[in-house]
Amino acid sequence: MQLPGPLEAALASADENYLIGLCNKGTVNRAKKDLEALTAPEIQVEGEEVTVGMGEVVCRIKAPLGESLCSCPSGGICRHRITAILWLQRQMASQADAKELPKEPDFQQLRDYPTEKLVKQLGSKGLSDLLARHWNGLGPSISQTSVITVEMPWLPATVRLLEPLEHSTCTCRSKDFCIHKAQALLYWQLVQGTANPTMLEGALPKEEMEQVQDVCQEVRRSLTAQMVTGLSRLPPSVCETVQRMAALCHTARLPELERALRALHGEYAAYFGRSASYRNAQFLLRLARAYRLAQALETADRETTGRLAGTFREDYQPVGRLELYLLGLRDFSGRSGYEGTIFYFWEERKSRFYTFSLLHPTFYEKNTWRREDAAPWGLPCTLRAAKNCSLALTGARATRFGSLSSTQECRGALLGSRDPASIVPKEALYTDFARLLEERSSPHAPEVSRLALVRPARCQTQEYDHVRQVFSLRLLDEENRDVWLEVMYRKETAKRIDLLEDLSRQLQRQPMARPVFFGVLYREDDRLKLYPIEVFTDWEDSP
Amino acid sequence: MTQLLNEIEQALTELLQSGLDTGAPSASRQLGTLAAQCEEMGLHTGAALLLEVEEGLSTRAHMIEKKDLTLSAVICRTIRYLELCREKLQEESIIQRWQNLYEKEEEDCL
Repeated sequence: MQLPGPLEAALASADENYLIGLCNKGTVNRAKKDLEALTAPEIQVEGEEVTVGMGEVVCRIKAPLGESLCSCPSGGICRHRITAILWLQRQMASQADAKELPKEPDFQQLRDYPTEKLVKQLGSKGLSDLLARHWNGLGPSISQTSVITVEMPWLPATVRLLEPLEHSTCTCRSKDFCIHKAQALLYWQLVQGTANPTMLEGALPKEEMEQVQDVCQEVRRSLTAQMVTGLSRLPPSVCETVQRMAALCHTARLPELERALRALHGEYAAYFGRSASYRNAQFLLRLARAYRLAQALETADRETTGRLAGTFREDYQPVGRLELYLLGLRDFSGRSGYEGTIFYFWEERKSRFYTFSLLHPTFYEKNTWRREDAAPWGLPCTLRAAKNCSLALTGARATRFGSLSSTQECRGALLGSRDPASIVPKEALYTDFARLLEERSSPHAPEVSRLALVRPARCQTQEYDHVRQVFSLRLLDEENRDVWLEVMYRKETAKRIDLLEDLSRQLQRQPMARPVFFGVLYREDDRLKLYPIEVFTDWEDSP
Repeated sequence: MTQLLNEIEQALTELLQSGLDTGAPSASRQLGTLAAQCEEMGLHTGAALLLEVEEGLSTRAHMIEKKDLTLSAVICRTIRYLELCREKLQEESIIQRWQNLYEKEEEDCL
């Protein structure tokens, strides 16, 4: 059978990814099954196309493959057309083994697509968001085979770009060149260097930058006026002024500055509310932080503004398959108006910590929350019951700080109870506290970067501090460097303190015992301290 | 060093409590003294920043058109500098404490 030249070339270059790009994976898999059952279809070459008759259905396959037709009523690329394409490819393969392999597509059409058209379609807001993501390194994950797959989980949308561009597909199922396709193509052009971010900046209206500058200048002026008047002479209405400025920052899409101002508002509220939690040092730091950020944003170019402005919320990015071990959990009740439980996992293959938070607002749903009910990712039991168990997650998503999403796309399987020593490698256990100070206790690092598994050489039990209501235990390494384990008594920590007191008694009976402590490191005065989340008393060294 | 940092923090707190309009004369003198102490301790950046604040406060008193934005920017830079110094000092004090403990242990063994 002699196929028309353009069709032969199109069939040769269309691999499975390309076919998936034309329709979807399910249709291709179904077509593969149909192909196995297919016996001798009727073939007819007519000009530039080939007619493939398969029982009651007749497909007309031509180049580009996306323009092939079928007698069935399907609007998109149906399984019949894919079956016919696969059958033709099989015939070609059996006839011409010696023919040279098709080369990888160079996507010239996608490169040549005018960037101006994409910019016009996105509009100034869309373009501004896209550039901010690009500069912050929060763009999509792009993989390139015979098609270009662009995953944009924050939308969420996955776009498969292929040639000809009209046959590209999007998970929004739009047949047209939708906004997601335009975004995906522009991201790809930016990565390829076809589109220049500095030139794209020029397409943005000047008013946006002017608005940022105006807001920042207003913030600086207002904070300066507060400094001129002095805290002792300021009226309590300054709290509302700061809140209004934070709202202005929200409108101007400056989330970091908004947070800084809300933190400053908290200090003002504590001062005027005569709260015991008010600290001068904290007030100075928050005032200076908001001021300096506004100052930096006011004079920054677009790229720096994008980086300094921050993001309203962290995106969950796909992280594939994870093998997690639930090390511990802690109940959380913050002044932010949320409470719940934070679960801490160790990931075996990446050798890092992940967290999963089950939090709920307390301002209107008090006492309705049942912590034991949480069983995310389709697990057969609650997470609380899975303590010291291994889990396998497929299709997991997490933020860059390792906070896991409870997305329904992620499925979990319980692998059973295991000994933590067989999961966590020896190198991940901190026995040298100097290394602990250097690597896991940076004051401004997020909590996940300050988590550590600590194995002291010995422990010194301490008297319970009845004045400060603090339980403490001194952990020492081989060189007599110490870390202070401390838990302040509160309603939520009462049970934890009971367990630690039991441990203290056990350590007094067995001074040679070397438990492993899992917790969060922090610095206080001239001491390195640990807030314990879990204690493993029977951690056996792996051989 | 910790005491000096505390004194600087105290001076800046008092200045911001009273306000630049009222607290300037007393803060100006105090900051000048603290700048000299910083220089003695080797905190050259700290000394320069404090002198800049002191100069800003002194000049401000004789000006009709106050340049408060410049002055407040320097004050905020000084607060940030103070924060960085404290962090560094805290890390060093933890290590120093460990060193003292080790030496004490050695002495006890002897």
